[in-house]
Amino acid sequence: MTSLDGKLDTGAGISVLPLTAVKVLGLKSKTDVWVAGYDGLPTQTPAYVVTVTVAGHTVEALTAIATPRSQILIGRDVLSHFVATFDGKNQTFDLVDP
Amino acid sequence: MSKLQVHLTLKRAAQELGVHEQTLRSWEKRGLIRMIRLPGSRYRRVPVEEVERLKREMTAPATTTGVEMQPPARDAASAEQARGQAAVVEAGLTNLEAPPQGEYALKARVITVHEPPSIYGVPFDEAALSEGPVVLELDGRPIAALIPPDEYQAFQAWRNYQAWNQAQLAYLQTERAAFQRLLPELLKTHPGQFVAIHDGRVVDSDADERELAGRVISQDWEPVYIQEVRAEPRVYEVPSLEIVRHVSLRHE
Repeated sequence: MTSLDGKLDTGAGISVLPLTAVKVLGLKSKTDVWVAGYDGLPTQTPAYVVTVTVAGHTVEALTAIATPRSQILIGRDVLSHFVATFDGKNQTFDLVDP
Repeated sequence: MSKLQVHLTLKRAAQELGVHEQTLRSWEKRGLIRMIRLPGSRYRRVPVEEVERLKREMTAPATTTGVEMQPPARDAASAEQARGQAAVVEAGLTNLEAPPQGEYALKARVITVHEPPSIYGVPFDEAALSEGPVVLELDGRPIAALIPPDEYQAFQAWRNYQAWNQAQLAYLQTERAAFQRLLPELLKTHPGQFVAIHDGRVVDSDADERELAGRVISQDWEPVYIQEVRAEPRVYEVPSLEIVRHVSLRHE
């Protein structure tokens, strides 16, 4: 198990793992997905299967991609399982499993 | 593939390489594959030698980056082994997050110039790099580009990331090719479902991707390829700038 800092990204259709975490966990790609960045150009990218726990809530067997970044990016594939309330003024969020 | 065939259709080339046709179009845009257009037509054809070349490159071991492919950990002993292997991979790759100073020279050819720069007629000083790359030309032909060391480190990190991705994609090559080969039939038998391909055949399927993935990782199938059965691949949007701009690595 690896603990990481994360960011919520409601604009991301798929979650993004730090590449170092993928290597440390010894994950092998199980599929590939097409990912379009800000320029809209899709790129074929390997994807991995992981179990992610966010704020005490677990999503098992999640398919996610990896990039050389230090934080996990929590996309809509995780957020769609919960009700997320963002308090912009205080920069906090609540995650509730309905 | 018959030796008499000189050019392949895009669909046939994609099947041979085990990739989607959209991948080949993307590769062509990026200059990774040479194609021709039929006279008076928009249709592409792929030279057989290009397909053979890419097959060789896609199946070649990634020795140049030191990447070693190993099965995932499933118990304490193999987890420990995986951690050791991850350390080897980590060392083999140039440090992706924060390359130490001087690391950029690791794989670069370093040329020490003792003569005054004026001999080469290169009016160059370090400040010029702040405005962008400096391109060296010889007889009007660009032969090199100078960029600041920190940008080169970021470029190296980006290139290593690309090499890692290519190695991972190559790892799934055989099963992906099987999926592409089976896709016409799967569209009839498993439309909208997710399938797991191992040893060139469907070993499991489910309408729920996570249910299928959960079962697949509990098995000893390696490699195994999970994919959704649909005519055109789904495209996920990840528009965050920090994901796609490698230069942001310096600021994290």
